Amino acid sequence: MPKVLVIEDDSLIVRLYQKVFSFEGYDFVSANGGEEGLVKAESEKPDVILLDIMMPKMDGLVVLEKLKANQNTKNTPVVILTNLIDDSVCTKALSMGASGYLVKSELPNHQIVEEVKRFLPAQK
Amino acid sequence: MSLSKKFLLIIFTLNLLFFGFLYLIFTLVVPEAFSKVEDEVVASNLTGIKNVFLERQNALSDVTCDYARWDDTYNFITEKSPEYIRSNYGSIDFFNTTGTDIVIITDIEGETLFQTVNPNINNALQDSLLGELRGSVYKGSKLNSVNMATGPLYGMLSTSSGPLIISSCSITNSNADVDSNGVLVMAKILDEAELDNIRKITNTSINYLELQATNVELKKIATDLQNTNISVTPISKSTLSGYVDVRDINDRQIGLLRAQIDRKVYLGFYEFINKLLFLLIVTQSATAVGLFFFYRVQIISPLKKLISNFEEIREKKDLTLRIRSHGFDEISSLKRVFNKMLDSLELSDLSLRHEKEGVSKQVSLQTNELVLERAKLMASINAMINGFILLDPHGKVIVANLAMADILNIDRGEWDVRRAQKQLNETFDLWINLQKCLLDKASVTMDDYEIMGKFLNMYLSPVFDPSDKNVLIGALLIVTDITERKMLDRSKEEFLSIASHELRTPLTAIRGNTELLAKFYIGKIKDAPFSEMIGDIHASSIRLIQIVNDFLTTSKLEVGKINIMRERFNLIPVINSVIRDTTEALKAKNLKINFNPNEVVNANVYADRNLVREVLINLIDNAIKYTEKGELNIKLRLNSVYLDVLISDTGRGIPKDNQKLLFRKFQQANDSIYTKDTYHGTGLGLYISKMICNKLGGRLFLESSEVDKGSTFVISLPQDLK
Repeated sequence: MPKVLVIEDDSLIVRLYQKVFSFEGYDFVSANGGEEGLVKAESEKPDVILLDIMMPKMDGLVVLEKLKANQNTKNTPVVILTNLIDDSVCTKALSMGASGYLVKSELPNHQIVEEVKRFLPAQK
Repeated sequence: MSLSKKFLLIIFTLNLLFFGFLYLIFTLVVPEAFSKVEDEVVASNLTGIKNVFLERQNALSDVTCDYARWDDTYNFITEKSPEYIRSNYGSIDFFNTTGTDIVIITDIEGETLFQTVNPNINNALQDSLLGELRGSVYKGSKLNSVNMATGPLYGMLSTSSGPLIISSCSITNSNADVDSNGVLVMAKILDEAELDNIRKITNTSINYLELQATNVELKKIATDLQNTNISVTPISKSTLSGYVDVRDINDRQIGLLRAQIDRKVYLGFYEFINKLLFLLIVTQSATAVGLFFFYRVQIISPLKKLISNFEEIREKKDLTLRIRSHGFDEISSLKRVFNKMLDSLELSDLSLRHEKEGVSKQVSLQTNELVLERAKLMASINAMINGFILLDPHGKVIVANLAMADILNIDRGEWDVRRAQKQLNETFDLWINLQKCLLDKASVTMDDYEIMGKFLNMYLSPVFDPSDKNVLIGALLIVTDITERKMLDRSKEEFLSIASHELRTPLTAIRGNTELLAKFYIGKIKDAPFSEMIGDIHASSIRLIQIVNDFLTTSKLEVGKINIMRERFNLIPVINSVIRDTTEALKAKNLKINFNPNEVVNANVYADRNLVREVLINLIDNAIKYTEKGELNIKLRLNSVYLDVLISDTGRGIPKDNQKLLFRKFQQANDSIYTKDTYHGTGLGLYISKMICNKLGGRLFLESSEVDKGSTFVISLPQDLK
């Protein structure tokens, strides 16, 4: 069962994606904020990480940088998941090693799952 | 220097030159001439002396010949009669009357037959004289070689006892018809008595100087006399010495005759010169003094008076005053001319005063106007919100307004560029930029200049002389406070971030959850209105997200935050894909869509694929929305360097009055903004589409529209020409 880690401070979104991914048959893990996200990225060994940008204390770009700097997490695909519309952030994230970029409000639930599937290793 | 002093100086200088000239003539030229005259006088005197000296010798020769041509003497040679000796030479009378000192008679063989010496001469001298003379009279000697043919010989002879006048004559009978049988020699000592005789005759004081080897001076004169007859040497101012040489019978120089001669001519000349000079000086001085006084009285005094008259007129500034003038000399003429000049001056002064009054009125009038103009200008400048400084080319402030003082936090009042620069930081150096502006003759702009918590726009522009566009008269600095605009921009950006994140996140949750409900729980809901409500919530959330997205896109476009990814692509597949996506909406309204791309061969454009797609969706959606029956036609058209996409519908059309409002923000081409259709209700669609087209370097416009017949919109995009 593929495991998805969502790093997101907004519980509304966390609960929504928990349901979406659970119904689609994914193992779902969430982290409230960047620091917890970094720990869980290492301990839970997810197949894909969904990372929010706007978070308190540590923003998503910093988390991305740390994930890519860590030998244990640098190969895990990271998809930026945000509602920011600033294109420059998107460009920056991709240059830092993000695998994709999704705008939450622009995608219906099933499309998110479709997108995440693209970054997963071949189905076991 | 006053005229008197100049005059005195000129007279003094002229006299000095005159007397200097005279002096030069008297000392250099005239004495030369006089010394020539003097030399001639001396020469004639000396010639006279020489002649007298020769005459004395001649006289002795005469006496000698008298005795020698006497029969008694002739007979004495043969008879040797003592009587002859006794009676003729025995008494002192012989010496006194003949003036002879020594007599020697020899026969033809040179044998001395008789000799006698003046007994008045002392014995020692007698012996030596006689001895030396006899040494000169021997057979073959010059003295003893006289005969009838040669005639008598006379001349001088030098002896150790002094010079002798000597003469010898051959003895013969009185008829001179027999051969000579002996020689008679007579001699006379050239003593003081003899010299006195010469002095008496010539009326000169002469001396005989014997030539001795030791006397160099005399030797030199003697040498000179070998070439000339006479030598003259000045001794003093009053006397000079003249020399002639004395030669013996062998023509040897044995002594000099020196005559002391008074320089009468010379002395007389100098006396004359002195008197002449004195007279000249006296008359010259008298003339100068006379001239000076005449000059003072006739010229200087009237001039001084004239000057004081002028001064008076000048001091009183009274042009009505006149100078009294009488007489007919030049000064009087000057006064009259000056009076005439005063007449004209008085007249012109009067007219000038009138004119001046007029001019000063005019000037004060114009000054008032200028002051008014300046006040208007200053009021205008001060009313400006922008800071305004007019600088001269050296950076000096000519005019600055109040706003400038406010913006730069400078106290109102006096200030300059340096003070202004202190308020600015180094990112904008006013002085350097001023130089750049003046040098390039071009304006300098700096935007977003942040200082003291303000954002300023600095605009520096050269100011040219209106009459000569090549001459710079300074520069204009306009400072605009754009802080508020910047704040607005920033809040807009902040709004964008917040809206995009904070607004869309809960909406995403609503939509996501209602979607989940509809998908996984709809079977559990038996109540039809409940299930309908969930559907409405879901539809509303989708619409709300769409509206928010439209706002965000608008803002992004306006702030320029949108990223445009230009690429070359064929437009036809993009249009086809959009048409595919609209199939459902078309079906719902029972509309047909036609797209025949074959008309255009090259449909490649250079633009952002996603943005173009968005515009196409928007326009096709609109066409479907406003068309109730009929069809949609999509055509392509080449238009210069553009590729046009024409989207036509058979809808309700847009009235003329509303056409110009069509692309405005929040406007839909309806009669009233309050009556609107509900599908995509922000009214931002066309506005966004037009902005995107403009950003892509293309255009969006309404080509034609007729009410109840339909409209044609055109998307015009840059072709890919490569």
